[in-house]
Amino acid sequence: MTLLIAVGNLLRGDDGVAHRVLELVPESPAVRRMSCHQLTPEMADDVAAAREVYVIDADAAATEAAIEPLSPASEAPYGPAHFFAPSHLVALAINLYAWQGRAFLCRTPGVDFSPGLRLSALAEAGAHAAAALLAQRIL
Amino acid sequence: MAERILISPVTRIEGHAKISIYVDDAARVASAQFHVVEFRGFEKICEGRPFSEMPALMARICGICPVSHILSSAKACDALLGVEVPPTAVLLRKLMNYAQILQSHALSFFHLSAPDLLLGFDSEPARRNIFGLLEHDPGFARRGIRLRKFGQRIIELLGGKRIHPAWATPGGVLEPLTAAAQSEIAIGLPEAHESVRIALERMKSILDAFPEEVEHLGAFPSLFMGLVSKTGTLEYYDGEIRIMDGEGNIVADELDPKRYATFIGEAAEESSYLKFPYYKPLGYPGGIYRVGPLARLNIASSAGTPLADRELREFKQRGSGAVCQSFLYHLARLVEMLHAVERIEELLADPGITDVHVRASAGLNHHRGVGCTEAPRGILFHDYEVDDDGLMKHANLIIATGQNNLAMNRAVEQAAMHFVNPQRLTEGMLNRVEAAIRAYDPCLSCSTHALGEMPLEVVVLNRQGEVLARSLRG
Repeated sequence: MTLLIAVGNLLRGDDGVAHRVLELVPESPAVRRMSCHQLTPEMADDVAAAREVYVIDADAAATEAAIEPLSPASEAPYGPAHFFAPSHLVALAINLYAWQGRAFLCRTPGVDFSPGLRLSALAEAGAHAAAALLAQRIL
Repeated sequence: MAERILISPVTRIEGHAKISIYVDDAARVASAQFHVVEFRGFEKICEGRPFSEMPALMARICGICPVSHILSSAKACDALLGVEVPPTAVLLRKLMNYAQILQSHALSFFHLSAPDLLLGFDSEPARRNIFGLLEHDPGFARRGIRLRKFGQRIIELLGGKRIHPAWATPGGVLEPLTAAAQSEIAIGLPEAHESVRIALERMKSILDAFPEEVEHLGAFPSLFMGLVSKTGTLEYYDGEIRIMDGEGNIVADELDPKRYATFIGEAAEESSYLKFPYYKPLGYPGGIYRVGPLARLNIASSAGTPLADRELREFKQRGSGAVCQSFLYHLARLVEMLHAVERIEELLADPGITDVHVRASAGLNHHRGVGCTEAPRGILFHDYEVDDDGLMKHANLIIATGQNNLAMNRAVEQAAMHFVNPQRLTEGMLNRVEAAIRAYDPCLSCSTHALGEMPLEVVVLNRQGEVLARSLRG
């Protein structure tokens, strides 16, 4: 099973672009989808049940959609740790469940993270491009 | 030379805060203060909006305990409508509230506090988190993560999503419980039950290793306030307010939550954005009271479920009168989790739980409505006033964390005086001062109407504000 995790706040403009990507990827029984504001430790359980995981997230530094391998974090996050970076989630799945699957980060460009439900033109175009890239790999 | 030691921000709590420790001329801790440094202002944001939007809007106060705000808000709106909520909707709201207690307490215990308890207050700060716990005891950490997930999953099954489910609505809830969801929750119960039992036994077995923390991280008499049922059992959704003193005497009982303003006052201090609620008959700050798990177990005559009842009896033996040690909030949380699992089991077995009549309809019938529930951190009031068109004129929210503000300040001071040696500061000393706050599991996002994690900065200043020493951890 392949797991797609869309991360971001729908109320903060382009920060919610990952959820738009999820809408655009065609349905498939072999693909499970999750949407969240932020990654949390309990998602390690879901990651561990998947063969491949794609974490989709907005990236203010990206200029176009891209998918890259996601390595586990080598160090624990400092502090409270009830929300994680994608690399921490992967590390947690490996440490908790000896997970042996593959993880990828799908970066989608964003420029406007101010309050609001709208995506910028760049984010909308990036969402379509990211969905196409994902579809090529998972369907 | 008088000095101030500043802990900023306090870590492993929900929100931003700092602690100032004041040192006298003899280089001893003279006093300490807990400051909440964030401001949210939901009470003003909602003015002019239709009351029907309130449950969804108020849920946004917090990403950890949105359910509590949704439920208190929905109850306040029920009162504006003047409707009788269908029995199944009440059952479902209770089910979601117990799931919320379970997931929030699991976060507090396994993620935020267990690292101190199992790895030690003086252990390497970088390891005092869920990863450190994972290295120390993977099976235990896994149980904690899955337990929180179970609570969140129930919320998701009922409300459509884990965070900010806009499901409870004026007059009831939007969707009934499906048979498939009922079955899925039932399948998860045995593991949840086992995990809570294991954590509870573990906590009881390690408590003896922390005699100083038990006695000096906020051990003092105070009032305790919360909801109980008509028969005096633990109650989280309905019920009346009972207030007990530190000796275990009931000082007020059967108080109507809607009349909270007659016995709860709210003071403000320049040092903090968090208000200081107090029990009016004893004035400010003499009317210090505590809410939340410790208070609930103190005021309840019994739990009302068999396993939690046994644990409650044992818990009460830890105090003469009331149990006054704030450190025992951690244990109280675990007893409540056991109770929540038992109640979830009961609710699922109720023949009416999957009935589809879950919402009553009505127009605006009253201009003021008060909703009150027990949130994970304590009793929560939403008080709304609307105009003839149902637009919000005024809102007053009294949040559990705020109600513990006086007690948290006293706990910080007690911990600082006992553990902190200003001439030889160690990270472990300051962690214990933070732990006095952490015992209350404060949610500052809620109570000031940001989730954050930043390094802990400790600054020693003299009376003139000159920095004499600074250390940074993280």
